[in-house]
Amino acid sequence: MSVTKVKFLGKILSSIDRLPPFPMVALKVVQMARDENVSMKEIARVVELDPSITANVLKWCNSPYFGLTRKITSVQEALVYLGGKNLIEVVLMSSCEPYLKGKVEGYELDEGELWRHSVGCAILAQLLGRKAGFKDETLLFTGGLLHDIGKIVLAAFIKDAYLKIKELIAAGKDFLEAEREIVGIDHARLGARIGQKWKFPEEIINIIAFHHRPEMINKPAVALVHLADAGTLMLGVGAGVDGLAYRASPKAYRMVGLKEKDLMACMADLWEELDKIEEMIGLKKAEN
Amino acid sequence: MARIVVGIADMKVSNNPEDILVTHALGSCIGVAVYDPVAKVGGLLHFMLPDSRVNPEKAKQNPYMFCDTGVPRLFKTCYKYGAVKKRMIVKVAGGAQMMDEAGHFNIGKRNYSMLRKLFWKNGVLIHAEDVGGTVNRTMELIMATGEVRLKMPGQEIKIL
Repeated sequence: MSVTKVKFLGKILSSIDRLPPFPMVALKVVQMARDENVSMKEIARVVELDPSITANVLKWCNSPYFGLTRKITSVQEALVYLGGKNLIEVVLMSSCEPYLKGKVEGYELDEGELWRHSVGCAILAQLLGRKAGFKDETLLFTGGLLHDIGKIVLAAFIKDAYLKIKELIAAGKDFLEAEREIVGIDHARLGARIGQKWKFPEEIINIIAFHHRPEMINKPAVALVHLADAGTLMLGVGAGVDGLAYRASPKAYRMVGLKEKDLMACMADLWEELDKIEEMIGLKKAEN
Repeated sequence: MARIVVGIADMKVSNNPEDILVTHALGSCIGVAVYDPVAKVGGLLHFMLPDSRVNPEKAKQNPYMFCDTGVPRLFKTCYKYGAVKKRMIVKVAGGAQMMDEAGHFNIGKRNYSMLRKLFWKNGVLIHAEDVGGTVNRTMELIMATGEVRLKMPGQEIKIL
């Protein structure tokens, strides 16, 4: 590795340390949701410990998306009316939003674009998971939301390198390889470092680390998020300067027993879901 | 001047010379802009997928999602506003691809070949196009002139 790259890498890794810590409560909820011995009531009690997540949960639960006729005023009530799965998803979105909703300059993503992409990928991963008979929907949702977390840190370092990246892509490299070539690390590996720092469970770190290279780890959850990411990029949802310049892995289909037509059918389903969720989380693009 | 946004799986038709029809971020999706310079009627369709048979239920709900159900509607709606088929100028953009030599992520290419097939069957010529590659495209149809503009991240505006 060249001296500049090593210098870059040191800077990048130290900027991870400056990220605000991931909410403890959300981390706890992810762990609890995956433990069969924990009741949803206990999860709701943990959620209540974080006032800003609670405020968001109440705001979103009362949005037209859920169509409830009465006003929800507590997390316990939200649990009763929405059910555990919805509550967990709202908690996760609320915890991830502050990191992902801003403008990501190096990738030329306007405010809200990376967030839309992440939410779209999370939903599509679940739709594909259902088709493939994959049970752990919380894992798919969390992995989908966080797969591109590395971009928020890497953006500042690739910002001035666009011309060089373009050359590399014209020469047949994909965006991930171009990132590595220029700054010494790609957004997937960097995202995994962030996940480690935040003490995410290993399965989620694997999704982040291998979402562009599922064949290197051979786990169904990683393959599903890979397909969901590809589907969301193909729909142009939150694709920036990198566009579709990533290698897609045909093996991912085989790992979960799906075909391209299943992906297309799920993309059609995503369209409606995403429209509704964007309204709930205030992401609807102004009509201008 | 009104900017009218055409969403994903959406279509807008206009006969107001002050309008600009715009659709953002065509990835593998395809944007079809049609314009009759005499009637000054035009429309923009943003379809997602080639064939409505993969999800007939969704096609019923929103025909603009698919090439085979969306494109006929685009033309028919323009006819209602007075456009005439033989005068219509047709421009196409989008259909980008992931990098995949084996061809299992070919939605962009499939979208484009379905469109070509449909146009060939109906005797429609494409006047200009910018398709394929790995870039996202934003497409605008200027109703006053019928001009079609494309914007790609990190590039100058291109007139199609």
